[in-house]
Amino acid sequence: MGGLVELLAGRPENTWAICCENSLHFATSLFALWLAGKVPVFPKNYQVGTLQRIRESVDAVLRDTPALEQFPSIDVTQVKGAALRGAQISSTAHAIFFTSGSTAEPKQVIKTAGQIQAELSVLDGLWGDAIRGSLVVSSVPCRHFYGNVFGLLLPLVSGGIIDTSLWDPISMIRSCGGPRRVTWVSSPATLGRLPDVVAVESLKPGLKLVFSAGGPLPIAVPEEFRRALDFVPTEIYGSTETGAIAWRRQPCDGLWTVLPEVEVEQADEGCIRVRSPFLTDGNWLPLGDRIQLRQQNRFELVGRVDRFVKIEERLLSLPDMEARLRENSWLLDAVVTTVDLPQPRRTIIAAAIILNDQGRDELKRQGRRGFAKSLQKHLAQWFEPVLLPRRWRYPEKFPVNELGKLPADALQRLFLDGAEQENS
Amino acid sequence: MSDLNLEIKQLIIESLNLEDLTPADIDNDAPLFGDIGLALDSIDALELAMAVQRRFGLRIVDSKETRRVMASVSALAAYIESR
Repeated sequence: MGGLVELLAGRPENTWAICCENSLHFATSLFALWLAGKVPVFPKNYQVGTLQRIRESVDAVLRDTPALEQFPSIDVTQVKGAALRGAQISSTAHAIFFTSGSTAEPKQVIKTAGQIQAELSVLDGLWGDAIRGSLVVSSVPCRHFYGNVFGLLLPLVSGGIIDTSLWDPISMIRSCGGPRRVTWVSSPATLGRLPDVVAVESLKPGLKLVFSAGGPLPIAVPEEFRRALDFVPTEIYGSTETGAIAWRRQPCDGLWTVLPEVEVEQADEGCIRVRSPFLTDGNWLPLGDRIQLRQQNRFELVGRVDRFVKIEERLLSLPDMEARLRENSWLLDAVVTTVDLPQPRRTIIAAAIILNDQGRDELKRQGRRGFAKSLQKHLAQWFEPVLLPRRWRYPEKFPVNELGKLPADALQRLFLDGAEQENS
Repeated sequence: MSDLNLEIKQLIIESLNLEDLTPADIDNDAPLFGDIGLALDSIDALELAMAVQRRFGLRIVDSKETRRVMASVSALAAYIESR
């Protein structure tokens, strides 16, 4: 890492986006940036459009992924150099994260190394003993705050052994075949599919601790874990801005227990607000989730208030995607929603589009398949593949009611009724 | 088009519930995953692996193998025939 610190210290750029798939490369980049007095930036994903949107916060890129010609970069896999001696991270060290704001633009969140340290010491107090000496395998990329804290920094603090390469569900299953205790850092998307892929019993005796975050875990998963492994996953509730807030282990009353040093209140419209040493300042921060406080330090999550949806743990702002679609020269208007497919059981994104004359000509010329692919390609500049719409409808007008509102059920019918009728 | 290729294409369309797509739209050698070709994602990969298992009784255990075996319709057909 010493070589990278030296190299960085000699560079004029101040803010560096970390685009590393491998968690060892990610950790090296993070600490080298801090030691060189630079500012690490955590992009939401490595799509070029995403990086361009946060262009003002990114001077250059540290990467183990292919180069992007728009940004100067250093390939961290090519940097050799001496070990570090007596290095210390400055007390002003900080990092920049991005979350989906309530507007179309990504919202910048600055965290100091001290705030991250405060969170790590609370987490270490709760789970450090269980993590120590275990092999930590994560299916959540390090660029996500949860994946970074639980999959990388917490094991470093607690003395876990980090596996830098295993991350997909099938490899995670294989990680349990060795002699070591295993800790998984995962999410409902992966854990929910586990019983379909493997007999959960076969994860015994290695698997001892499982974290899940990104959304509530369907109750069938902890029930299956309880039956097959005598323990259940530990679910974490939190956000990039707040860090971890609360945890729970189902089956239980479904309530979440607030972490030590974190305060939670029910604020406007029943929305949660949070205050903790993990947060940017000492003020209360309101979030978009509605809660019911049940007892002191325990609460129930009721749902989100705004038009954000979660698809496979990725938070998507529907207004954001609609705004991006409207930038396309073929269309007049767009409405984006989620549709629950019965088979395969998954929630997908669907888009209803009002075309202009040029768009109608293009649809005729390219056909439905080609036209949808063109629009997907347009959106892929900003959104990850799992978030791209898979159902497309091109109605003459939206099925609005007499009040001019678009009822959710009318919109759903549009997608579930099949694609052919609208062309008649 | 061989019967097995056709069967695999139908399986892909049915098991992933893909719309606006017929077997004729899928090229035997086009990549199934990634940015070009069908552009299926990682969740599709799991669903498809499960569908292959149900239909052909073949378990694709290793994830690296999954990516290689399901690279294209022809690759998947070759794998199934070799078993």
